[in-house]
Amino acid sequence: MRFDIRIAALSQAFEQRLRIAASLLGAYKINMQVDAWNGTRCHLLIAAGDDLYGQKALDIAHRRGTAVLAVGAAVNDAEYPVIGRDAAAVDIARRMRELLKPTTFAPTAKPDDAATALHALFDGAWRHRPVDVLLDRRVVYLRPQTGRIFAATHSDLLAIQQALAEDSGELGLRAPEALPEHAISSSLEAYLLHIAHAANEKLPPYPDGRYHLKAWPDLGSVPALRDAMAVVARLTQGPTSPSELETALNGSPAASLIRPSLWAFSAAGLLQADAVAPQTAPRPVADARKQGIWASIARHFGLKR
Amino acid sequence: MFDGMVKIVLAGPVGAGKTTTLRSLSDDEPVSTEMPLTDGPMGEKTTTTVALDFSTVMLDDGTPLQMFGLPGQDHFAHMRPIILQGALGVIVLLAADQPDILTMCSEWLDAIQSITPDTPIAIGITRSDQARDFRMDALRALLAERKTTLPVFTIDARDREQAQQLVRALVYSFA
Ligand SMILES: Nc1nc2c(ncn2[C@@H]2O[C@H](COP(=O)(O)OP(=O)(O)O)[C@@H](O)[C@H]2O)c(=O)[nH]1
Ligand SMILES: [Mg+2]
Repeated sequence: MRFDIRIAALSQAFEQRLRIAASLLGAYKINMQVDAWNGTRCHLLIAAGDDLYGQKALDIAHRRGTAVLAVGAAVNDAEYPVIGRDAAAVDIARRMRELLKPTTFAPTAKPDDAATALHALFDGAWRHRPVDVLLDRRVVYLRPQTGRIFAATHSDLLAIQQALAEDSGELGLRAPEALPEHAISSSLEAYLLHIAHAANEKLPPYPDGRYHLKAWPDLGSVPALRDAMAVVARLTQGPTSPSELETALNGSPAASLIRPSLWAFSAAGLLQADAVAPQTAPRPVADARKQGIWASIARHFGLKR
Repeated sequence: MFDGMVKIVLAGPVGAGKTTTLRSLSDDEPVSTEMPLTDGPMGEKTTTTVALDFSTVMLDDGTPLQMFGLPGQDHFAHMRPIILQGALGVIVLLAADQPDILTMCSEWLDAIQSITPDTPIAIGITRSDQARDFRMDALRALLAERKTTLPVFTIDARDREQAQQLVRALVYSFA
């Protein structure tokens, strides 16, 4: 992988030492390209902290979650890392290496070399475990215990969701690290269901066996996949098998959501394989009149059952 | 057409998003009685529900589905049994950025189940976009302790489709 390093408002002398630093890092198999900053996404921005243009570039890049390094002076009260304007090439190299480290040099862990991130998360070693997924400089933080997924920005969530759905080989995984300071969060089960639905043919049939859900997955934010609730309803009632679900939901809009639901809720840590029946109260049974009303309500709120 | 009142009740503390959810679920503007709250500051909120929020949607078989928002304040507790009685389903709303969300959840479930024990309940967590620290596990543990698996959904109450997810979950609460 090649790192995209951008620079803004640097003196010629500093830029020269920076280029030497970049070639020094080649010894660590860290390859980088150094170009003028043009406002687009990059791995690291190095800019003069005592120059107006440099400061503006640092602010913009930092807001986007890009690593930054201010040269010469700190920017107002921002806490950007600073390096002296006379720093030697080896020092510049060391700082660059440190700054790129948190996301991109972290050892990526995969169950085996053949498995992609998608498979590691759904049917591999990382399912229902806390893990960070990396794509370039983007990171999402899966925390199954909490039912939440975290990221620096919504666009990070979406970009990695799409890459996972495409079973991209560009994705990396690492053991969980601290969340960014201003992380946003979202429903993990909804996120995984979206991916499993989009990647449906890439996942194998769910292994035969009997399963139940120990809690309702949080599906509030996935109205597009509302029919998954039919699968959830059956799995919260008691142990059932994939083939029983197929039979029960055959011909309903929920049929195509059985496999994605099983994979997603299992990856989220909510699906239990059983021998024992779950400890839940029996669900209320509506009388015939109420059944009719519920059917009307279902239609009104967009459910075809 | 169903004879007798068909109603869904929205419950939960002040600021939980009952009025917002009701508005999202309604076809017409709900009738709300909003008055300035006089008993203390409520953060950025200047008005709150001191009477009932109410709205109707017409189902395709001609039955009006009535939706009520329960007043959240304790001093309106005497109104709750009257409104909850005979409810087809109850949606409990809680705000993710409320520090005592677990106590609130427990109290509201107790209050509802003491009046109408067999009515299906769905729990909506609003404002999770404002609460990075919100997590599901404590709520799920609380429900497991009560030996129940009620749907708990984080929603943006301002989003019609997400608010509707709660009603859909109620629909699926029946055997
Ligand atoms: N950010 C955000 N704000 C919400 C959400 N739901 C409700 N609100 C806001 O929270 C406040 C309280 O909501 P309201 O419906 O009046 O609560 P009520 O007292 O239960 O009726 C209002 O300012 C709403 O706009 C949500 O999901 N996200
Ligand atoms: Mg209100």
